[in-house]
Amino acid sequence: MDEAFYALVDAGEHIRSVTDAHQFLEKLAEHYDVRNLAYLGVNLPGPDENRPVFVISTYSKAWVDRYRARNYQRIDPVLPESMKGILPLDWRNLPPLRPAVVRFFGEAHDYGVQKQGLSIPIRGATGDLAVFTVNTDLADPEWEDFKQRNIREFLLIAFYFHQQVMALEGFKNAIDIRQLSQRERDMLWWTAEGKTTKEIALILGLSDRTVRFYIENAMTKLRCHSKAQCVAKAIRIGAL
Amino acid sequence: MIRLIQGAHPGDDADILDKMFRLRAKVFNDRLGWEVKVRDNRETDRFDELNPLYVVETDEKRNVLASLRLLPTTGPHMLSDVFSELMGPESIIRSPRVLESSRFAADTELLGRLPNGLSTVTGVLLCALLETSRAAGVDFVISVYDVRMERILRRAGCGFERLCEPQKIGDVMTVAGLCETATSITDEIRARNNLTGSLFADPAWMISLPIAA
Repeated sequence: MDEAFYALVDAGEHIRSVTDAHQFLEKLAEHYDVRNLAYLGVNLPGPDENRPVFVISTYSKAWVDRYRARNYQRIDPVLPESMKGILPLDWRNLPPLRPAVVRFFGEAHDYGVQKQGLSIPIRGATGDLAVFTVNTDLADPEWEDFKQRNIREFLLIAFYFHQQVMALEGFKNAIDIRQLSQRERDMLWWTAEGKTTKEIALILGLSDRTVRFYIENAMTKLRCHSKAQCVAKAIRIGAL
Repeated sequence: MIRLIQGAHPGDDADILDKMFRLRAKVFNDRLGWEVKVRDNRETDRFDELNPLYVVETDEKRNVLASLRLLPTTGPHMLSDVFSELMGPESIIRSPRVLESSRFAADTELLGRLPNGLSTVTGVLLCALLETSRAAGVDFVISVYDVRMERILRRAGCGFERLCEPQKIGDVMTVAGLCETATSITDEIRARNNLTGSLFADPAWMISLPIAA
């Protein structure tokens, strides 16, 4: 969690078009040194009711075209399996693969889809649903290590990206997700005053844990990854 | 032993979910007197329709000892959508790193025969909840509960902290609370209840977590 991470998150906020979104995924893939990133949204409320799914990915055009032409959504187990649950799905934990599915993955590999995948389901407040996939060619031990280090960042990125896509689709969130609550503002105010979590807890008569919780909520809302950045941003957008 | 069961896709564990809904009717309606809807001796609400993840503790005969329900706070959940009066605007929590636990129920009749039955079973269930959440990259679990739960949670070594003052909702003193998924918390629960090794029925469940727990 560093400068580079929130530089990326900042870049994510400037997504205004599908092209921007695509470039953002490419930048993100480069930052994490992963082969592919893919996003699929369903039930997105928007102007185009006839488009049931919205897909954007760094997979090769050849693969995307082939996938569509051959209706591979009928055998691809990743999306249905990851949408079933609320926790991220490691592709290694897919149910046993039928021969047709093994062939599908073999073919996907020929088109640049790597063997390791983590597919993160996102459930929105209005029935919108999405899956954000990270795809790499790491060997098992490195892949474990990679997930361990990055899963928390990817949860946030997946969620932010989904919100950004919803904005693209012309959907206005009923709840302004950027709106800080009074508690959250209090926390940032005292942080801006130079107080530590412990000191804020003492001042407000709360536990450390509760203070950390509100600060983390504020950071999620403002898409920041450090307290300092969160305070700066809250001030900049007039939320403090 | 613990099972993670997807609400809309219970697979071989449909019988366990059915027993869980019966247990919930017994606990929430008969014993605690909450205003819940019971049909055919089973308690369900609209959040059960949203394909939640259930964490269920069973004995070797597939009896349900205790259970709870997990919902992502990015989607509809109880604190933001039902109990928002508890915390007002503070109730709007939408984060991929916060899950909501609800409908915690334990079968005190089955447990009555075991020494420390209730607190051990509670400890196992909550430990599994927190370890699963942590393995999925989640930092916090929030919950809205009956204040009568607090003593049980404390005895199990699980510190939920209040996020607001308790309020009377219907006939029940209700409060929102918060627990961290940190190892320090699960270590404490494990020590308090002498828990070692995997809590999951099928070792494959450990593997199926997004990162090793």
